[in-house]
Amino acid sequence: MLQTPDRLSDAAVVRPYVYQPQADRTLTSTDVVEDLFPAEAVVLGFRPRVPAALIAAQGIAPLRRLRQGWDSYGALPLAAQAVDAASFLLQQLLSANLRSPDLVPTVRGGVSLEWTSSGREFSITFESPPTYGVVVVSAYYINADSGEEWETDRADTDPRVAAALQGLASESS
Amino acid sequence: MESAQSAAPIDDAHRGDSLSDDDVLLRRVPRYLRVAEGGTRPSSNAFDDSPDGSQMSVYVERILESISKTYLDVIEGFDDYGLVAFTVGIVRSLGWEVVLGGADEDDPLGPAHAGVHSPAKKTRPQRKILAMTCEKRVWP
Repeated sequence: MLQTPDRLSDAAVVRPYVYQPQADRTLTSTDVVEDLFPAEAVVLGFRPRVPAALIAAQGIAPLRRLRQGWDSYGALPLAAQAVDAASFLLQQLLSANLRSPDLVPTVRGGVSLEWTSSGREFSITFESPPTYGVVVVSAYYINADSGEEWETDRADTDPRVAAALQGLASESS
Repeated sequence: MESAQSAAPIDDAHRGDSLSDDDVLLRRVPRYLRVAEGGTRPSSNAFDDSPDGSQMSVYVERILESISKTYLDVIEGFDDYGLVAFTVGIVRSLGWEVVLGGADEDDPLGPAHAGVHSPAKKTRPQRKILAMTCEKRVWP
């Protein structure tokens, strides 16, 4: 039975699943969807809402495994503190239905969340300098159309960061 | 604080004065630093100095050719890496300087190696300009 998207719960698709289509029939795209989600099939074209924590964990996991020199120029492995902080914020933002950012490591062992759209880019970067033992959160924004561009090392208190996130939320809704 | 080497005097013999604004610099880009719509361009994080304080490494394309190497040699042995190119002119327009040398002793491309020196930390807006203007030579 097909359900409309607004009736799907977050838990609907959270289960281990190995896709094994039956070999003796020709599959249509509807078959594939119903095979993948046999209990609660989704309407074609609808993107199931997977819990934000799962998406964040899956996105971040490969970055945690990066080793010294992962960029071929001596980049540091990612600091757990910085990755944890980025992961936490990512969960919050995805829970608020913001679209997923690119997860980009930095050479100093940090990670950036980067949102890019035509002519615009917004990123929040988490780094944990060894000598400080804290996570430094910076942000960068550019809008090529308006010419607005700024960078801040106080992303936690800079009101422009909240405004940029609100803009992303508007785009995502 | 990331520009420890930039404070040191630059050896005149290695200063990149012999390079013209049109000379092309090459830099590797690992998969993790490819962003935007599935990885269509490098992140500005791909144009930062090394965490040990050494300046951003590049290879000078013209010098590579003079030692019978190509840009493919720059990514040989680096699986799934891209290679991007930008000019010395762009670098200088950012207030940075190209300094020849600085290669590892065992680097077969050593003569073509250079560092992009900046008087202070390379800012995100500066690095963004490189990310947006560079040309992709290899982009797997």
